[in-house]
Amino acid sequence: MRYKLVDILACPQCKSFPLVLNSKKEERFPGSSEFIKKRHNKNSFECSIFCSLKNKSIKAMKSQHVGTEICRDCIYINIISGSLSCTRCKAEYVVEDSIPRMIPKRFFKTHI
Amino acid sequence: MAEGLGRNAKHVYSAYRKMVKSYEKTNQLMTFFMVNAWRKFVTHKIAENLAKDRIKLPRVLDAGAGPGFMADLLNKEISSDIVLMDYSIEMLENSVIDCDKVQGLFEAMPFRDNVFDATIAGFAFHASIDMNKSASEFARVSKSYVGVVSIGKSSNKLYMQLGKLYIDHMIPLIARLSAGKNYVEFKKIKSIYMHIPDNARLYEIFKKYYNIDTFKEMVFGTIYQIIAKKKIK
Ligand SMILES: [Zn+2]
Ligand SMILES: [Zn+2]
Repeated sequence: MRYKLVDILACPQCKSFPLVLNSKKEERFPGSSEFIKKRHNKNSFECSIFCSLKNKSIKAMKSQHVGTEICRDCIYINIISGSLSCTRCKAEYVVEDSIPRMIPKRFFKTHI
Repeated sequence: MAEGLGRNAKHVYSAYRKMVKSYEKTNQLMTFFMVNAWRKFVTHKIAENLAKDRIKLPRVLDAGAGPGFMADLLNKEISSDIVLMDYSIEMLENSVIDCDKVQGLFEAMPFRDNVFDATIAGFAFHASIDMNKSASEFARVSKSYVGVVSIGKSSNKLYMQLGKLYIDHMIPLIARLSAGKNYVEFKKIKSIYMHIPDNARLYEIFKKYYNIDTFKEMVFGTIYQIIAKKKIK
């Protein structure tokens, strides 16, 4: 998952946003990929509300007149493993093989 | 009792995960090669709506994406920022499109409110654990459109029986031909057909949150398509 994904993820249980990312292993995508070409826009931040790479809200960064390139890596860096945790309900979700596992534990006992 | 698979999801889901390899081939055969046309009708309508709204790079959720066939079709019509969500890691790992992937469930979507411009779901909604909860989550995470194509059940008693005959007898036969020894897994589609509410009821479930633009039933109601726009509160 790219850093940018944290900008849209919320806790599936209590819907708290943003989640706290703890990245353990990362890699860099080549800039030539279709995914990046499509998204790259030098005039705006990659993230729209919260940038997890800088751990700051976009609003705060705008008010501090920070350049938009600061969150460029949010689409370039892939998190291979790590975790996302919810500060409200304390749930933790792992990121494994680049995919965040966002199913609440209670479903694994009964439904999945 | 919740409308949807409920705890029966457990054995349907385990079957689905084993189908990765034969999934699409069997889908094609089971639907007499109509599956892609049915998906395309939905993605085309959604693309049309998004284009009308002139959103630059609309953000779209492919819910219950499997390998991302719906997303791929949509992306061919309109450049969009797509997220694939499925409960099966196996399906996500075999995705046909380069985009963000998340393991998640309809009933507990891991996204903030109104983050998507549209949600699409191809042959997935019928596998909801709880359809009312799923529809409400679809509406929560998405600002405007929803496009669904799914297995349905006619509200007409005769058609319902015909659908049941097809699912009881034809599907195991077709699956046997295409999926080999894995064909038993496809028999679990029967469990889906047994647990889904009829199409009239499905319409009501969506109507709670959406203004329905299109509700189409095909093949004696065993397939339905919905194109709808979220109600403004
Ligand atoms: Zn960022
Ligand atoms: Zn939480």
